[in-house]
Amino acid sequence: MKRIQFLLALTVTLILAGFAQAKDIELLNVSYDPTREFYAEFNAAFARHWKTTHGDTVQIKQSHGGSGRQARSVIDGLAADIVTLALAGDIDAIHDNAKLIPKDWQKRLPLNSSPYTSTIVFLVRKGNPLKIKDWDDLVKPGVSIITPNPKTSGGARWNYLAAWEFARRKYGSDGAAKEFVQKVYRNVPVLDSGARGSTTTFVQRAIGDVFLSWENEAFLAVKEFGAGSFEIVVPSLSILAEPPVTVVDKVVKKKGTEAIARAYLEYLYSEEGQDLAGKHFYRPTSPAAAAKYGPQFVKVELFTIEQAFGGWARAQVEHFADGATFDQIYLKQ
Amino acid sequence: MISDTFRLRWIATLAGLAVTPSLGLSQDARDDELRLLREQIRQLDQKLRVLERKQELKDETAEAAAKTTPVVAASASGFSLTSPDKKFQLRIRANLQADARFFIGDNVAGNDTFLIRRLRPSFEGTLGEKFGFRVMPDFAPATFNLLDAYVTYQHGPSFNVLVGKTKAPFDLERLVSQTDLLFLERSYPTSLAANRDLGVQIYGDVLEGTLSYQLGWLNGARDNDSTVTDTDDAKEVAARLFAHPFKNDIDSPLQGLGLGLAVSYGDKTSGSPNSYRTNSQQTFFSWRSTVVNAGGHTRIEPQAHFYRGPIGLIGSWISSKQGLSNGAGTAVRDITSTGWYVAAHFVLTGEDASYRGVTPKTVFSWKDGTWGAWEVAARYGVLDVEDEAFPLFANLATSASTAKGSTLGVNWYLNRNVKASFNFEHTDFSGGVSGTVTREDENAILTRVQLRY
Repeated sequence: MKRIQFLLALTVTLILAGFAQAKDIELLNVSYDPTREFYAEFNAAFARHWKTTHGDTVQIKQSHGGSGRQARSVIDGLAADIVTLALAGDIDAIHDNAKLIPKDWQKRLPLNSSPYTSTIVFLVRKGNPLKIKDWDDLVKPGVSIITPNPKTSGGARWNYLAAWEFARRKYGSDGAAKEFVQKVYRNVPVLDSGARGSTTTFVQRAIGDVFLSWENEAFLAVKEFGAGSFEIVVPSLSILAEPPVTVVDKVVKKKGTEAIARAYLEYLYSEEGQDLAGKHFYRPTSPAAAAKYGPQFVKVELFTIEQAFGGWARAQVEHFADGATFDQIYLKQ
Repeated sequence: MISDTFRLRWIATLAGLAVTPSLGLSQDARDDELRLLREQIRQLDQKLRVLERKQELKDETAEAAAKTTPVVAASASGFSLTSPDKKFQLRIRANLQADARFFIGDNVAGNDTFLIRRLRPSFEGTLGEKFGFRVMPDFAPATFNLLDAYVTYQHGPSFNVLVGKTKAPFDLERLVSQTDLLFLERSYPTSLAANRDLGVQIYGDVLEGTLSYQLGWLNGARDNDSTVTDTDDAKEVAARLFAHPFKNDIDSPLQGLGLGLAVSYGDKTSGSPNSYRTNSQQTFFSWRSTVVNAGGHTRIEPQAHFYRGPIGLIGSWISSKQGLSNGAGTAVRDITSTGWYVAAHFVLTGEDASYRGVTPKTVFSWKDGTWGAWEVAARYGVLDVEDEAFPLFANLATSASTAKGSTLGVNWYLNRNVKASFNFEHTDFSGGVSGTVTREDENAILTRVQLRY
């Protein structure tokens, strides 16, 4: 009898041990173009952290592309556990069109769910041959500007809005700003679908005189190809780009990855996450990392999208929706 | 895309041209001109690079679009719509057979007539990697008949499952597609086998494709019946093995040899058995109107074909034994009917003869003087109802006990989609008027134009 009880206990123990075994977990982070290098390192750091604290092996797969196009893919069914896109408007679209996340998704994490920020700067060729210093140098005849398509790229929308606000402040009206931005796009010979494509156009294909770039992408180009090839020019005014992040609720609930997906995003706010963001030329939000990496960024007057355009929802409708300002000025050309 | 080497050569040529006219000018003027020309070259280089990049982006966009854009195709094989990952496909096909039939002499009940023998659109495709479907109605001669409607699970070459209605896994000639038939009508063994049946089938190819198997659990259709109205609870099991033992031996003269055996068994406890027809589709044997199914129905059919170059041979022998009652239970017997046929065909224009028809090397064209493919064929077959059927189950005054049919045929494949056929049919009988007087021979000319895609 005792032997039977012993065997029964052993069986139950083995079954429970089986349930308690470490798991292999897979997450998909759908992100925008210039975050490739940052998330490659961050994912490894998070996997180590999760293994240490929970014993589970986590593999994070990445998908990169123009922010708008990536949002479209998620809306169309790409099973992202996490989205880390270039702007809140693209994540709003995931709620508006597919109801995969709640409307108030941005309130779930600190700082409007933007663990790091960035801005838009100019990348020019060695010696800055056309002496480009500020936004109004871009509209001079003969200046060739590289920027992606605002219809598909989040970074391009930041570029567009920064130029618009500069012109509105300098020339005093939206009408003048529209005319100014039209002149900017008149000098754009080719529109890539995403920021990384524009980097290829400017850096590898040697097209254009100035590249309107995410700050981190500009630093990366200089680091990759050497300061002897490119220079970063910081304009007098730029926009505070706040790339937000969120879990995709319906996907993580279905896959059973909600807890780890949330932990993944929270880890972006950790000291290690913030340090990696600074290392990859994003502007960290934690005081320690900001102090450490602050000196590498040139001081620039930054405005927010809420201040200048009343938020992404409004900016999207007025400038980037079909038939809105961008279509009006670009399709005319 | 233009290569860097090409670009450098082009720029060097322009630079050379730029320097040449400046030889007679002062140093300052030459410097200015050189600067101007350098700037022009830079601008041209930029324009070239922009054009290249635009093309590159266009190609990338096209490549990305190809990954999400369904492929629409139209060809001699039909029309199709395929998802970019090829996992989902809809194929639309159709077959139209327009016949003209003339009976020689007035002894045949059938009229000389034009008729639409088959009008069969078909919709088939795949749903994901493993599932397929096919729906094929027939609207000819005058009524709607749903012939095929099934779903398949395609596990792999050796194991597949089919659920629904389609050809029963039995008769060799029945399993030849109606678009690839040698003659306008099938021969006698098909009269003794089910046409279509409803149920579940498993099938596949094993031993490196040299052995095919089919196994079906079916309602149990009557001989030569496609309507499959199940009149009882009993079911039928049908199994067929067909081997191509030399299929993978490309040097063997027997590579095109196929040998098989099919069997079926099932109880039929209600409903009436079907009548039998000649190759000209004239009924020559009918059961008495009171006769009903009343027992087991066993069929067995050894079958074979052989193809080598333009020559083809095909044939089978069948036995169909069914338990019948002649009404009110006065007599219950097993009645056996047997049939067999052998056919030979030869493609005059040299194309390969095959089980799946002939693919012409040329298409018919007055302009080019090409004639497509031509094929001649001959067939002999017999259907015999055993003497026990008379007189309790059939009336020898109205039904012949034996039909022997000879067919001569010519097929003209104008192209892969159009075929014209001519058949001469001769049938002689035993019985059919009285015990001693035999029904008159039946002679007919059958012609057809077939369109398929």
